[in-house]
Amino acid sequence: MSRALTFRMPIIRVKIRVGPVTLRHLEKGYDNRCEPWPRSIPKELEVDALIDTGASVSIIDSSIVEEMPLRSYGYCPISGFDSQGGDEGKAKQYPNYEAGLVLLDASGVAPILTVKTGQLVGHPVGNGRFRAILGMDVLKHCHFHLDGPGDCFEITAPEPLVEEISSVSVAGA
Amino acid sequence: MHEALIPLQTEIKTFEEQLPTLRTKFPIGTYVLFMGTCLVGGFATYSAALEAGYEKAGTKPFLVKQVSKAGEDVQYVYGLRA
Repeated sequence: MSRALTFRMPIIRVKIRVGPVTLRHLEKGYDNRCEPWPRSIPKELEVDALIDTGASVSIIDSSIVEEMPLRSYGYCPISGFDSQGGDEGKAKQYPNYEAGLVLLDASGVAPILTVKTGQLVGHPVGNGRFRAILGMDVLKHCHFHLDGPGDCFEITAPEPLVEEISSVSVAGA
Repeated sequence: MHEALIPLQTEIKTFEEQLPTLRTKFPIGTYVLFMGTCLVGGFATYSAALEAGYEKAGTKPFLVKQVSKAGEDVQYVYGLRA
């Protein structure tokens, strides 16, 4: 089903989830202390995300990292955003986080693709129109058709569930 | 360095120094787990590496990083600036 572009951009609704390994260990910690999960800490957030074929990895806004109990287990060297300019385009290191993703259909209700575990980079997206960027690590698992003259786009997924997304090119993955 | 990465700086430095060797030791795409300067092992999935990290390190810092092809160490995201 095609969807209208938003401000000429392909933006879709997504759910960002605490990654399953992180979640299991956090829940275990609360259980061991006989404490309930705090209501103020969401396990899942729903946000708008830009579909960006010019991004090789997916980004979540730093505010999402602050709201959710995400922990950094690694880093991603990235060139192209604030590493531009005075630093001669040298890549900088950004933290990545274990998080799941659910891409929602045009009604914003039904899932079209669920990624159980992803390595999402946390960085200020600094844009009031979306709080996440879906890069080619996620889009590798989708069919994306942009109809510029018709001001609309379509995104579907041949497989509704992906266990993990990889941030490097691996044959067959 | 980003503040979230400060606890991992030893692991990051060690990984970057060892990356050429890791490429010969593990298939591309393997997730390697580092605690301090110690390479704990290589794992087929991100989840398995994280589980091993929790098992060995608990709440202490550990690094999980995928072994990439030479020349594919850097990712690109265009059009954004902090």
